[in-house]
Amino acid sequence: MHISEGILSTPVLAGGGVIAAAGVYVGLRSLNDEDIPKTAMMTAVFFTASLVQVPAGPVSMHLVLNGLMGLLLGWSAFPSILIALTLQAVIFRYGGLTVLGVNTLIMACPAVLVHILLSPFLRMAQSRARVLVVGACAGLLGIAGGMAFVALAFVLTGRSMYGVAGLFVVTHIPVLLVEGVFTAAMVSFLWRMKPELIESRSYVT
Amino acid sequence: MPAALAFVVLSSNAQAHGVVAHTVEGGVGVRVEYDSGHPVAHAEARIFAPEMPEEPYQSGFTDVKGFFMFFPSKPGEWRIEIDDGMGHRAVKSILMDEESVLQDAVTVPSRNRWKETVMGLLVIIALFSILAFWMSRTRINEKA
Repeated sequence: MHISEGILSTPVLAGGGVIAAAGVYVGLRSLNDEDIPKTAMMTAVFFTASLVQVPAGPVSMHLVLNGLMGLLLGWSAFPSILIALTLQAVIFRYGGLTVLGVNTLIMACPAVLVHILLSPFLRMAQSRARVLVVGACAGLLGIAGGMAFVALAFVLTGRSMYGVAGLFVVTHIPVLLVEGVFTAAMVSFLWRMKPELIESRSYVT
Repeated sequence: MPAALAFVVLSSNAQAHGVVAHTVEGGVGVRVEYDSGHPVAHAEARIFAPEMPEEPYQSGFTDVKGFFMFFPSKPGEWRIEIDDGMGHRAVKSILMDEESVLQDAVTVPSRNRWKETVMGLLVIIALFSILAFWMSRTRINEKA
């Protein structure tokens, strides 16, 4: 889901950078002392998740986990994803430094959306089945939201989406499904074994 | 069989990841020219693999000197069609044997990334340690 350098226009890159910086500022403001180990752990998980390639038909895929980050970190997903993407860009040449702001938005905005829309349901969930449903929705929304932001970045740049949209959607259908299942399983596991990880998240208004 | 240096972009992933360009040796190429001797530049080129006569294995354009390169993946008869879009068309078949394919195939070893991954994880731990230290100091100063 990383967009490479040289594809987006300068105004889109600059605008993405400014909005991402604002998101990171809000995320850092919302960060408590107690949340730092959890945020560091999720940053490490996000950083390494993209390295585990899983064959899916003619292509390979990897987990993104921005839905899970949204549920666990809330707005802190912004600085967490920025750090992970920076390291991926510098070390693995994923994406690039100039497109860092846009890539952060692509993955962090759906995470915050998941936090706003689904965290209340997760707190109220009383049964494992409901937790699984919320987790699956978080995984699906994280990827679908990311795809929508990629499309938006392309449209704002003035590139035709018709050539790549079909391939992009087809290659991400397995990611959608696997991400939904994996996020549901992870959230269910944490809900049973470490519920404070889910409940400690405070809202930023 | 003509062998030349070719430049290919290899990506193991259809998703937008890091894309690395490797210089590789080998490959098969054609040079297309008019009967006047002038190269057929920027003409559409299509390669058809053995046993797949309908679906192009690769498509692209000849360069300014009329060259077009490809890497055959299996032995058999490979067909190259060149069309300059102005009514001129050339078809060339190249027979590749097992030895030629293996001889020219270049295996690019996958990168071992565990060292880089560990380095990234250490940077994450360091960054958040600094952040935790800074936040705890700020809280102590506020209390004081």
